[in-house]
Amino acid sequence: MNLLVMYDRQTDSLWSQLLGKAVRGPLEGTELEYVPALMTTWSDWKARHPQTQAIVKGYKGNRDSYASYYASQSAGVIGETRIDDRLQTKQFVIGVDTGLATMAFPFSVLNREPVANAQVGELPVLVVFDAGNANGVAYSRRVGDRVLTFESASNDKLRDLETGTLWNSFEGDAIEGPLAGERLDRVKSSIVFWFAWKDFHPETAIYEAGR
Amino acid sequence: MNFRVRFLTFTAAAGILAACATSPESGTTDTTDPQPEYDIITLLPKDAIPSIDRPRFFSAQEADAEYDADEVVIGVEINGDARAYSVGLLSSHEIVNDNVGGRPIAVTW
Repeated sequence: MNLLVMYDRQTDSLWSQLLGKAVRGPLEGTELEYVPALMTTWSDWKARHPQTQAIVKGYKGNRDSYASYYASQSAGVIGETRIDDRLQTKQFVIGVDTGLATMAFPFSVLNREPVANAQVGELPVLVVFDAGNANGVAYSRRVGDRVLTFESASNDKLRDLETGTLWNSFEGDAIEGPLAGERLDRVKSSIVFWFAWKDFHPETAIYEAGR
Repeated sequence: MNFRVRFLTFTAAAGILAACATSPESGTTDTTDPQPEYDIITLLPKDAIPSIDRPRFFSAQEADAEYDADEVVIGVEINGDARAYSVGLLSSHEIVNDNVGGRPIAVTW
């Protein structure tokens, strides 16, 4: 198992990328603040944020040194040290971490159910998935005192069954209806291979369709 | 509260984090998520995968010259400052240290 370790130049502490936490050194135990992001295609991001900038690459087109790795069966650099065959090793999942409980949402399930109303530990969670752009995010379904249940309304929009409010799927803001102006809170999530997720979160639950 | 941490500059890959073989086995499924103990295996020296510390940016229009429409990016928006980071580029560097919307962040892959 295996995932990137980073160090910081100021204290030389070692940090786990997936945990967002220092695991060795003077800052051991310190957690980084999580900044919500959206992993998607360039055209989709640009449509959402016309004023966006993009990092200069210095070359043209799509080049990824891991391209063959994504498609291969190999798991990380040293292979798997702990087997958990509830899912296939290289299955992509959206891993959701509430801080108290974790759940993996397999792409294979999200393909069929792109709006998933779930319960992760004590927290009601919504995962929204866009198969075309392989893009997915997680929110808390709590808004004020309410717990909401979402369904797909139209392209890129959601409607909650409790109030009928219309929401933007990937921005999480309410645009029309009784809750207009509200915004769903993002929950920490990562798009990650199953083998890495289950190693860091051996107790993870797995989302099953239609629950 | 993590004020100090937010000003750290990250750089890549001293190695990989490996869960020890003695990670907890138990039947509980919810409640807290006990973390396994970790071994760190060093595969490459520090900075063997160089982080990007002084990123340069295109406008969206300029970027079309380098970016394919279906190219995967990590997008971040903070205080109206929106930026896209090519995942293919991140594969070669693992980490970009940047300042977005007034906040120092590290984008990692």
